[in-house]
Order: sequence, then structure tokens, then C-alpha cells
Amino acid sequence: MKKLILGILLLFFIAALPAPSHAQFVRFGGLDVMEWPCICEPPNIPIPPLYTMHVFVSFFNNSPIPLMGSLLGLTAQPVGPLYQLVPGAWALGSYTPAPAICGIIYIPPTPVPPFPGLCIPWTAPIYGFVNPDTGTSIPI
Amino acid sequence: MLRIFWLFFLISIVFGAGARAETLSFTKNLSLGATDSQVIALQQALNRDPTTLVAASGPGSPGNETDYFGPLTKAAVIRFQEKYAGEVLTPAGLTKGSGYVGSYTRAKLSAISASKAKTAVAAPATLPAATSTPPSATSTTAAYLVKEYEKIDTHAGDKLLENIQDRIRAAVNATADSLGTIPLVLPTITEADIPSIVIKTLSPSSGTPGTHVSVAGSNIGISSVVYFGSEYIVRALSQDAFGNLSFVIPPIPPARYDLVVKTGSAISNTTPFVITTPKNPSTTL
Repeated sequence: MKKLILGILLLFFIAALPAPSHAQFVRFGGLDVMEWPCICEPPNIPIPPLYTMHVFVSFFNNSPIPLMGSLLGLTAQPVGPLYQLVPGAWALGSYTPAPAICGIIYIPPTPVPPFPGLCIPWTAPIYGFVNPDTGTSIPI
Repeated sequence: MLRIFWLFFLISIVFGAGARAETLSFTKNLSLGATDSQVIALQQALNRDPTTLVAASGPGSPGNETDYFGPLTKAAVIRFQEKYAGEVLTPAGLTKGSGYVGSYTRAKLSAISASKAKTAVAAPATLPAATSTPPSATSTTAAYLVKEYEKIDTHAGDKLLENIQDRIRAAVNATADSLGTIPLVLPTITEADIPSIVIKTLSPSSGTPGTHVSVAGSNIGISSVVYFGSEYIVRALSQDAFGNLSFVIPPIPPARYDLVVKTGSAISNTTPFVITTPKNPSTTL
């Protein structure tokens, strides 16, 4: 009887514990295959390459697992000073999910014939922004 | 007297040939992390100008150019792009260098290289890559030499990744060349396109012979072997009670090697690994 009471109390205690706060990031792992500077915004606005897109294959985040996934990182310092994000190396870390686009092709405007310019964005999913604690153990 | 004349004549021919500047060609887009023979040419081109020097000494410095595109190379490329901003950045709609060697940067590099070749500024004709063939093996290192039947294409895994990159670039180029009339349709990547072995962790990433290095990745096991370039091999991985795999750095010449893991017939992507001596710590390019 004592055990039953203790068990009920324990269950009550566990249920009363506050739920863990919802994480603002998603953990991921993937093989960084290439980088692409984001040089424009649709429809035709050139921008400085503040962000660089990192394309991963074998991009593991939540199920279902896609085979190709991309994240954006700051061009100047995509991850923290102690971390690296290197094409050709496996990276492990987290990202902040957010809708993101990366214009990778910019065609400047022309006066003759009149053409307003064009920015073509990356067409595969970009899952968000890479967090500073992302990196690889592989050396540069 | 005549002998001395002929001696000088021969010396001038031999050294004159070595001092001739090469025309470097750049046909591939290059970016941070790339390992490619064209990176050597890129570093050579950057090193011809003191303002875009990759490194003053060590790997990447004049005469020590390597095939690896590291952060120092990227920084030098940014300096180059900003120096020639009018020809490299402005046409791409950029105001600051990105470190990405695309078509405009390649065109400018090639143009400068061609003009330098014409003026024949003295430059080393051939320069060693970081992964140059080590000196002849001693009896200690002989045990780690790759035998004839163990020879593999150590870049087989990399070629799979390059194939993915090429397919993506082809799709992007088709759209860019058509001025957007062809929509950007990225290739579908399947499991078969990706190396079945991927090195995920190497710790430490450099060390002296005798150091234990833990290795982890997909499809790496106790039966896997580790190649240091195409010259040397470690045939035994050890596993601790927790299942962690490791190997011991063999007594082979200090250098930067392309490390590859092979399991069965599957070959991983290459991963840079530096074997150092206590007096020669690893250098970051």
C-alpha cells in the first residue's frame, strides 16, 4: 500500500514539473557540399553578399529526412570563432528555422532592349539560419 | 675562356627556362574548402602581387602553394576582388569581395596571368603541392607503404561530391546563360550520389606519429583501413569498450595528407590530416 501511495505521489510530482521550454533551434547534421553567396533579392535587386548559402547533402534534421537541404550563414563569420563550416566536411550543429531565400544569379538591367534585371533564387528548400555552435571536427 | 663562356651560356638556358612565368588558366569556380589543382594556380596568381599574398611563410606562401582553398586563400581572394572591384565585383552587382572565385574573378585572374606571362617575371616554374610525394621511405615507414594490391583511387569519394557540384552548377549556369528563360531546376540527389562512407569526426585533426586519433563516421568499423594519400596505409583500427574507433598515426614523413577511409570496396571523401613533428606544429591555411 505504501508503495502504491509513493508511486502515485511520484507520478503526481512528475506531472507537476514544468514542461521544458520549446527550443528555438533544430539540431542537424550534414555533409556540406558547396557554398553560394546570396547576391540579390527577387525580382531584380542586387545586394552585398551578406549571407552565404551552405548546401548540404545527407541533411539530417527532423523526419522525413531530405537528401539536400540548405542553410544560410553570415558570409563574414557563418559560425562562432571556435567552429568551422567547410565544404567537403561533415558538419554538426543547429539552425534557427526561418523562411529564407537566396538569390544566386543576378542578371543586370539593360537599357537596350529595355530589361529591368533579374534575380533568380535557389529553388531547393532553405531551412533557416545556421547557429554559431555549428561546425566540424575536420581541420581547415 | 671559351669554356667559361659555354658554361655561362648553359646556365642561362637552364635557369632561364625555370624563370619563365606560366600562363595560369582558371576554368573552375572555387570556394572555401575546395581541394583542386587549380587552387595551386590560384595561389600562385595571388602570390605574384604583394597586396594579395596568400601567406608570407609556410603553406600557401610563394613556392609553397597548395591545392587547398583555406581561409587565408579566401582572404587573399577578397583582397584581389576588392582591388579589381570594377572588373570583378561591379559586374556581379557586388560592392565587397566574397572570396568566391566565380566567372568574373576567374576572367580577371586569367587576364593578369596572361599579361604577367608576356612580361616573363621570374617565377618558380613548378611548385610543390602540400600533398607532394614524401621523401623515400625508411625501414620504419616501409610497413605502412601501400602495397600494389591495396592501391585505390583515393579521390573516388570526392568525385561523387564533385559530380553533385557539377550537376548543380550546370543547372545554375543553364539558367544564367539563358538570362532566366530556362527555370532553375536543381538535380535530384539520391543515396547513390553520395559516398557511402563519410568521415564525420577526426580528433585530433593533426598530430605527431604515435598519437591516437579517434575517427567516426557512417559505415566506418573495425574492418576499415585508413589511407594517408595514396602512399601510406594504416591497416588496423582499434575499438574501445564504448565502441569508439581510433588509429595510431604511423611513423611517416610529416606533411599534409588527404586522409581516406575504406570499408570493403567503399571509399570515403578525403579529409585533410596534418602529421607534424614537435618542432613543426600544424599550420592553418
